[in-house]
Amino acid sequence: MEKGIFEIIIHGRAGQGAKSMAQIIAEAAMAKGKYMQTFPSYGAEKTGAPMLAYVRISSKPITTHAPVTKADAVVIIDPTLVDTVNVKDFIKEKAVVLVNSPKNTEEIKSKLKCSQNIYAIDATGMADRILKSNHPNMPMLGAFVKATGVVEMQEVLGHLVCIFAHKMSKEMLDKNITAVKEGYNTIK
Amino acid sequence: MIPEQMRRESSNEARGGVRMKKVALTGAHASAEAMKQINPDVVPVYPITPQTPMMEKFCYFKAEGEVDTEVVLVESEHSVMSVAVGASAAGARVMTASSSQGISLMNEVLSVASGSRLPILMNVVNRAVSAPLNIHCDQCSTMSVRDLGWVQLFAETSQEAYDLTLIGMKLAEAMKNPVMVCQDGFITSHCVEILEILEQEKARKYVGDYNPKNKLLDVNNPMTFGAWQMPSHYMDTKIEQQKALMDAFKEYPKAAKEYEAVSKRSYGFLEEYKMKDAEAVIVTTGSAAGTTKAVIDRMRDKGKKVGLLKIVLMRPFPYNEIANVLSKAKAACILDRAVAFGGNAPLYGDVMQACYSLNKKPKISGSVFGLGGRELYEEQIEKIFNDLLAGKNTEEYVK
Repeated sequence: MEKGIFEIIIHGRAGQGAKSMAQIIAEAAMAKGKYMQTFPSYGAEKTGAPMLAYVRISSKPITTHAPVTKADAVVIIDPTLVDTVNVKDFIKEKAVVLVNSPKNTEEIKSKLKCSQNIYAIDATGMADRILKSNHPNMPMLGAFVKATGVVEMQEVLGHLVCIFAHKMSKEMLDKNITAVKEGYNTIK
Repeated sequence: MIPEQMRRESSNEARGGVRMKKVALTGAHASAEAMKQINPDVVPVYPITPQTPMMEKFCYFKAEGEVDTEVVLVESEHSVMSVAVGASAAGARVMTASSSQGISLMNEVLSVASGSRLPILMNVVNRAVSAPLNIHCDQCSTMSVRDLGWVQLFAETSQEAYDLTLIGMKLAEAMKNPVMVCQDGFITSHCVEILEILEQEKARKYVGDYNPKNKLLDVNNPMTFGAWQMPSHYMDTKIEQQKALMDAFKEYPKAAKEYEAVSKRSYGFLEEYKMKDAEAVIVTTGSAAGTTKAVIDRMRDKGKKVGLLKIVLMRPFPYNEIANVLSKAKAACILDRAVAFGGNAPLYGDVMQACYSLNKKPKISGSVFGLGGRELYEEQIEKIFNDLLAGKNTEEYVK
């Protein structure tokens, strides 16, 4: 980690789970003794509106409350946001960029006009198949874990269970775990 | 496959002999946790963004049977504060929370609470006021009620929102005066941070039982509440009220010191950050103080003598302490997340007054930032410090 701090920007639409994904990453880091902070940035407060979630993970206490301006990792949960988010203005030199898209990685690279560590993941397809719902955050979470290595799968799944256990059935919880694992396995 | 022991509220750590639980909570949930630990008698509620998650969480605690509070769901914030006044006068321990338009709507009853010397604690989540409609953070609404006789404490982080809720409750009852504990909407209220919370029994023991001397429901000692007063008495009552509010200067340090004994965290009227030899100082309150600290750390590494003066106790305003701290600085910028239309920004005006009596004054300028959730970036704070160090005035608005 550069300068001991790892900063993440997650782009999504309200209701797709960007905030939950951010919280699971942050709490997984906390479990490993790191300092962390995560906060959402809403535009209009309604389902479907573009929104952001930020995460900071650090070996030192975090005091700033400013938005992340240069990220170590950017995650685009909603495929339509690729057209509106100017990713290359918001990333550090060796940033990891994860995009939910059925297109191949080369196509996404040319679209974003940057050549960093970019990965295209068909998370909507996976969520549709496994969860039967529009929650691409789960496969994207798995892909994030593998591509960045900043948090570990065991902690991530542990915190996923903590956050979702009271919200859904055991069967649905297992499907979410499967979705995270499939996302993880798509990154080679 | 998934370890059962992986609880979000996991590690018990020993710190200075004090057992403390580390948790990850938003500012709103941290305040709700403190409210749960206090277990107040009555909590009237009405939802408003960005306060809503706090009361939502508190109502969850009620539904789970973790508190035995009488939660009163009403139809407006005017009724929230009216129920709070009635219940508090009856002798109950009362807490509530609100934001922005809600604070505006309960305005007339805020003065009834303070004029009646009722120790209500209200968590305020700072949000802009209409029009235009905006749900995001600024401190205009909170600052607009700063002269209504309530104590106002400002939190920077989730940790402070939790701690000040406990301290504030004890302070309110010690002073017989209502207290607002304010945190920035979204920036603090929706930001998940790591904080340490007390064990429930310790928190409850710290706040203690509430046994008011005068209460409406004491049928053996009937007395008048909400009296009518003629010109012959009203003014004297107001003078007494002003004196009583100033008791915060005695009672707040006491409550904070007792809290430090159980938590190992200390709170003053102000927080001074790297102020010892600071030539250029930013004075602010709330979450912007944290961002300022991050900038100070970086600039200090380059040998720049910069510091922060954070206001924790906004009302009553600690004029003398502020003047004393600023007397050593060369230049200061007062950063307000609020405007006072037609006048100086609230904090700027107050700090200017505080410094008026100083023989050697720092060069003071004021900048307004962050209205309606406008982001405050570290680069903007760095520019303010550089302007101050170069002897320049800072810009009127940080845009």
